Amino acid sequence: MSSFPKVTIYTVKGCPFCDNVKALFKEKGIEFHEVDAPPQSDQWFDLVKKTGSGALPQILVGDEVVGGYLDVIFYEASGILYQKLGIIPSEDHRKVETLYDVIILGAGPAGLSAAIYSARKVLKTLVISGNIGGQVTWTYDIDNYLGFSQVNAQDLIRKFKEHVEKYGVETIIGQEVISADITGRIKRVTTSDGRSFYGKTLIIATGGQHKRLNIPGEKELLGRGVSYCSTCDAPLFAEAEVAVIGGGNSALEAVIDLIPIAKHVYLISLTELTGDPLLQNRVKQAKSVDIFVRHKPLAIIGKQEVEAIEILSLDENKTKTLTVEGVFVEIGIMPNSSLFVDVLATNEKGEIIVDEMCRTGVTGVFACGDVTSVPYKQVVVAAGEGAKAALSAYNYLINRK
Amino acid sequence: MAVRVKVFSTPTCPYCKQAKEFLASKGVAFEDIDVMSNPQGLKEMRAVSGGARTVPVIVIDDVVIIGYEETDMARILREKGLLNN
Ligand SMILES: Cc1cc2nc3c(=O)[nH]c(=O)nc-3n(C[C@H](O)[C@H](O)[C@H](O)COP(=O)(O)OP(=O)(O)OC[C@H]3O[C@@H](n4cnc5c(N)ncnc54)[C@H](O)[C@@H]3O)c2cc1C
Repeated sequence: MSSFPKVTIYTVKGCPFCDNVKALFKEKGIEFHEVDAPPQSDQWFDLVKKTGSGALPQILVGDEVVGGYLDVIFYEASGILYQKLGIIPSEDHRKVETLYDVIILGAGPAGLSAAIYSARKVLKTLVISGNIGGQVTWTYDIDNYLGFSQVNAQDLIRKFKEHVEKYGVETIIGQEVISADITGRIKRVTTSDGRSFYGKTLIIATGGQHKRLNIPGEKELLGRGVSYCSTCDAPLFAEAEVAVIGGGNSALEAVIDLIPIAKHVYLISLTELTGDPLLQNRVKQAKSVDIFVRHKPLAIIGKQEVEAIEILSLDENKTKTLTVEGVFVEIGIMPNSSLFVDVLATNEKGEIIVDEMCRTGVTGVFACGDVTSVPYKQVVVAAGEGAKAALSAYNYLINRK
Repeated sequence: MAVRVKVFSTPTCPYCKQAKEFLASKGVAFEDIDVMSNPQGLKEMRAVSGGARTVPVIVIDDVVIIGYEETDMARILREKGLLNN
């Protein structure tokens, strides 16, 4: 390597993309020279003169302008950067990165269905997911999937998985995607173990997770009285006083699960109850249930385990503390869209807004299943949307040049 | 040889069932303790897990896992020489 780095990065403090660029060069072991160029400074005027642009960061190799962060990603993934630097990417600099046609995030029904359609179009496909099956692993039986009058959820996932494996799709399971740069021509995703993957297109199929209350004590006491799975944990609260949070069907079903087991159940809902009238009646008739509607949970209290919950009456503006050993949070599902909310349009629920072709508005980025604004969160819908997303990615790839 | 894996579970919990099916499919012997019908088992579970009140709790030799995630469990089984692939 020459004694003076060939790469110059113009930056300004507090700009996240500047940090990203520096981190990328560091990761690849490429030396660079950083110039702090706050707008209107001498350095900045120098930059504008050289490049015609005052946008930061700006990256130069020698005197040649590469551009901003997304350009660097493209140059790096395509190998152009190494050509310009006159280096052969060695093992240390860069394992020759695979450029996938499609990277699919999530291996629930939507992601797996997308994988099958993508593989059958002979696209080079990678699936990255925390687990296989997604929300289907949260339940026992699926009663409404075409072709099966009743199917064990585990068996259904196994069949999905075998089907995908048959096409030799590459999968990385057990890793969370922690960041994604999706606006450039080449999409880059990074997993929790620090590896990066590059794709020409991205299909977001990250589904949903239990909505949290986000109040003190909830995280700290998870598994110590706080539960998101009443079917799992209700039997551990024999003769105990417990609270169920929520007013919809899943909250009402949790109460019904708990009635024969617990000594007393408090049902706490921010709004009037919204679940099926039939379920509401069963809950209202039970002697061991107290219902607090228009009450907001403020904190879950306890040292080693849950001891009480503090709630606020919205009508009287008064707080009340209920002694309980368990708090079952059943306030619905929220989309796993947090990685993308800054870049993609989302609705008031945080769901990624897609058109009828599963397009997100950013070219080459598609989304499908429960993470999207498409209504009716069902396995069959997610699988159908996954197929559409993959076919749209295929169309995009053959039409772009 | 003594059984080295214990699964504390309830009959209604899908994750418990998945954990047990995974172990069975890999030929790993385990003891299944239904903490719903066995209060002594519930006590034992809470003692070994530092007070957990959730299932499954999976004990592999001296390692206690609260909750079920296939990749985590497989990794520990492999470290303990209980899984060959
Ligand atoms: C209790 C319950 C019962 C249900 N019963 C039925 C039923 O009987 N019939 C029916 O049709 N539907 C049912 N559903 C709904 C159905 O399960 C969902 O609609 C469906 O699973 C959605 O599929 P998906 O692929 O969009 O998302 P999900 O199934 O949520 O899968 C998302 C995947 O993305 C992964 N992921 C998320 N974020 C990341 C990240 N950052 N990095 C890596 N991976 C990530 C997750 O690990 C997961 O594998 C039920 C849901 C629940 C909760």
